[in-house]
Amino acid sequence: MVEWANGVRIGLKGLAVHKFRAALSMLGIIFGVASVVAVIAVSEGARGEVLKQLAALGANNIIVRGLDWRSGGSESRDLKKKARLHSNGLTVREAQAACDTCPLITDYAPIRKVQASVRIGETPVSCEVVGTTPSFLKVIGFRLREGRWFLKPDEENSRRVCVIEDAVRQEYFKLASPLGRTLVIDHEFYEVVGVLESKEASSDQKYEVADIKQLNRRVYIPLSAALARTTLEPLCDDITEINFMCRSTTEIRAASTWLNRFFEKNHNMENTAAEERDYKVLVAQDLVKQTEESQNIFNYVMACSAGISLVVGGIGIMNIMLANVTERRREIGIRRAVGATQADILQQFLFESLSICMLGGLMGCALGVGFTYLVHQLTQWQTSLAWWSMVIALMVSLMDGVAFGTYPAWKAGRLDPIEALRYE
Amino acid sequence: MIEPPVLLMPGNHDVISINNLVKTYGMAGGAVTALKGISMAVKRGEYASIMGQSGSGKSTLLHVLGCLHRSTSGSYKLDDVEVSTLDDDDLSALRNQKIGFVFQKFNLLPQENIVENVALPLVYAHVPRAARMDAAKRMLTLVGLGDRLHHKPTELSGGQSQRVAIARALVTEPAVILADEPTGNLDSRTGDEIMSVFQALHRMGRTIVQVTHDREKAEYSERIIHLKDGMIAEVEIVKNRRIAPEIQLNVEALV
Repeated sequence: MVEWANGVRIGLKGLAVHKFRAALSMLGIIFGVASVVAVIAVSEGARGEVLKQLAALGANNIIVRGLDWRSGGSESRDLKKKARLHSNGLTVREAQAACDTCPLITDYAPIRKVQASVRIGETPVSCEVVGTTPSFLKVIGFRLREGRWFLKPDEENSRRVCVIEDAVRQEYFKLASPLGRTLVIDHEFYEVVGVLESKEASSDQKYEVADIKQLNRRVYIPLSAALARTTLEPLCDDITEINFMCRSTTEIRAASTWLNRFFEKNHNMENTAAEERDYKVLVAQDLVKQTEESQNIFNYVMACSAGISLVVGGIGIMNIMLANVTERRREIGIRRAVGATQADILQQFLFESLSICMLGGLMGCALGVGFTYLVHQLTQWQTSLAWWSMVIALMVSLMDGVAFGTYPAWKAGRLDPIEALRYE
Repeated sequence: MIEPPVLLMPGNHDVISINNLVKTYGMAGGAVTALKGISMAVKRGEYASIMGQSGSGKSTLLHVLGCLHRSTSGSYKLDDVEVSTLDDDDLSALRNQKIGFVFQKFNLLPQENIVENVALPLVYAHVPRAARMDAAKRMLTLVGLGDRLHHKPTELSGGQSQRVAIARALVTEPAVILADEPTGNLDSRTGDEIMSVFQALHRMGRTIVQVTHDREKAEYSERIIHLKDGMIAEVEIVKNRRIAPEIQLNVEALV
């Protein structure tokens, strides 16, 4: 066997003789690899998005969400009125009861969304006011950037303190620390005691699992304060959402079943259809799985089309290599005459097809990066270029080179030296 | 590695020794016997010619001698190695180590420069690149092309191309140089020049077997083997040997 460096050199030289032809025959591989790289980048981007949301929801959490009549329009309002015949909606008391009764659930955090006008001095602040308990931070896994989170006395005394999201701080407290400053929430003064770290923002709205932009614009107040202030809102004496923290990831399924049954009973809704109940049990992982499943279908389709283009590319390679072998019979004859074995010739032509494929693969990677950028620019989808997708694409194109280059190379090796030498 | 050049001394040792060699080509319309039992020997340091009309079997004989084809029956010993039983890989190795081909059409690789061309056999002998290039340069210097190392074959005249081919044939220090109509593509003056190179190599002790249909060129050698219808018709010792104009090979390049 001839040494590698020489093999590659000879292979590339063989290519250089017919640059245009080689480039044409590479097209299949180039587009195949480019589409693999781009598709993986798009789907990785989507996956990253989903994972961010999973993190925002808490991977081990089960969310029980009440009907939100404000956002649901008149239909959901009617539904809620109807549901009121059976129950009073989600309450802290039943959350506590669920947590106490079920050993699978270790903690919970209720939240109550409040409609309120918020100002700093005379400047209106655009944000969502959310009432919650001291357990929230631990349950949902958010981190503090500065200051402190609510403590028990805050909750017990309905203190007028608040914790703001980092995005709110960045917008309204550019110059100085917000700690100790005052927010006016529906004419009442709340002291800022802490700032949360910002969640990684999602730039597109196609995933409904969690609206991270919205999450990043929250102002938290103690739940007791929130409830004390908002009982006058019609139909909204209940809490918006309860986050239950599960003991372990493996028990989420069991815990969600248990919770479903618990609320069914509590709300007198054993005989009510799932879509008419006034609560929904959501498992963060399930939601992620759903988006991933629809993503997977897209992935399969794209993987198939990428695979087909790689096969087509391989056939192009085979075609060009067969032409090459025929055209260069004389060269093969010369090499055989001076002592090349069949294996040497086979190796030479195999190197050549590998060089074509490798070159095509590299160009495909570059093109794939371009495609990805284009997709991102045109659709605003989140994309994430994965290095391993390029490694896979290059390996596949190398395999293409072997799979479709072996037959022509074998044919070259089998040529009779004298016949080959006679070739004009 | 290339060993330092040894000026081979003529002797009684047979470099080529064939005995009752038969070569049959199987074809669709029946077998054609190109060689019908040939026995001959070429001694070390000898300069022999094989002559014959087309169809006489001289090309077939050269192909068998050159280990490009195997004989159908009979024995062929090349430098004491029995060739007729070897497999394809061994034949390749033998071509590589024991034989230097010189073709009518030069058969250089057009895309490679002439050093690469001359070094080509050493690639398949697994000689490291540096040593390969060094040996190729020395051989090119020997045949008087030391100043054109990086030219492509297309930039050379016919005579120069044939010298490159000769350098390539010499680079592995083969036991025998087989030349197939080496002057067939050259005008008579350049042809004589190549004959001068052959005679100079012969004086250095090289064994040369050339195939030609040109009586005049055959007379540069010591002995002519006449083939007719696949058999040896006559072995002629050349009495009035033609002596080509003396050519000075750069022998010091070998040292």
